[in-house]
Amino acid sequence: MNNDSQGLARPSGPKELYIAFTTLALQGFGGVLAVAQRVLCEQKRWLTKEQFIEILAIAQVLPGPNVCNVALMVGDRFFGWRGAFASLAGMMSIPLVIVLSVTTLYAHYAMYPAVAGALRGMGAVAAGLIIGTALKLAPAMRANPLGLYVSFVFAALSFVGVAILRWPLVWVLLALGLLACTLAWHRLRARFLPERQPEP
Amino acid sequence: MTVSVDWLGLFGHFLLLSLLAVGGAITVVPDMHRVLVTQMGLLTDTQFNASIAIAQASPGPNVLFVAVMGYQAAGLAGAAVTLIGIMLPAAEALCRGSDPDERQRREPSGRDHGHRRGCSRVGGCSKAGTGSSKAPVSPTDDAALLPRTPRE
Repeated sequence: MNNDSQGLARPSGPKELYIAFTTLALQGFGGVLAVAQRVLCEQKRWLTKEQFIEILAIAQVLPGPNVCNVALMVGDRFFGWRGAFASLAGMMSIPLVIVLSVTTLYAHYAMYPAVAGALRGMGAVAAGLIIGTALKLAPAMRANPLGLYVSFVFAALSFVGVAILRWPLVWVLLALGLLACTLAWHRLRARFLPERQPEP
Repeated sequence: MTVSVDWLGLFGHFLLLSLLAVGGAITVVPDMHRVLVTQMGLLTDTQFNASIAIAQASPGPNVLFVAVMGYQAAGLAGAAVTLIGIMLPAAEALCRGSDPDERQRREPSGRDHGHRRGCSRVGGCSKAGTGSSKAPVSPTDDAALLPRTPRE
């Protein structure tokens, strides 16, 4: 499977995958993907950087949380479903225990203004991170057949539907997504058609 | 928490959101708020905010905010329901991905083929759309069209 790229190591078994993913998950505060790349590509040398980027690209397109998809795909690559399960369990189990313990603590101390304030601040940071991600994705819209402005109109409409009118996300996505796809298809068709007209 | 929980509804909703969460679970947070806080009344606004903040500040993947929401809403069972709901479609996709054919198609070398096939399909669509299918369009035609596409 991985004889295509020389110099790569291989985990000895699902257990090593579990330990590796646990340690990398515990190093990741506020996101583990950057840590995952460092551990998997540089420390363990299980994957080349290109392979990791490819896995990440697929993980973003597949349904479900990206980190879960990455863990599943990396594990599956080496040991099939057993590896996939070991990686996912490694990624989630210990951090889950930690995060639920913190939640229990929070429930005890939520009445203290300092705790409430700290968490409100963290919430603001999280909101900022999401907006930052959206802005980072925006330049890609220039290459989209819809163009930058139409894409922004769709983005604005989604925002109004979800955040202000509080409509269910499914319907907003289905309606606007279908509309955008149809529009893009028409644009693409118009782009290809004139090339063909002079032929007869 | 004494609120009675619609377990199936909760599970189904997170299952659905998982399918919509292209680009990360954080993208579907508004809809979680709509259901957990507004519709089901399982969490307060403060608890909802705290869920995301706690998961961000703790080690581990940020998706775990989903488990924190479930935990605050309905204890350990709630955490299990929301977390499994959000992860199940990914596991399902993995089963499809384990298919060697599928994996072959994903290899970088195969991507070029896929791209070209996509283009010829666009050509095919436009041909069907006009109904003037006099000139036979061969795949090479489409390949020749490819460099000219940036023309707007």
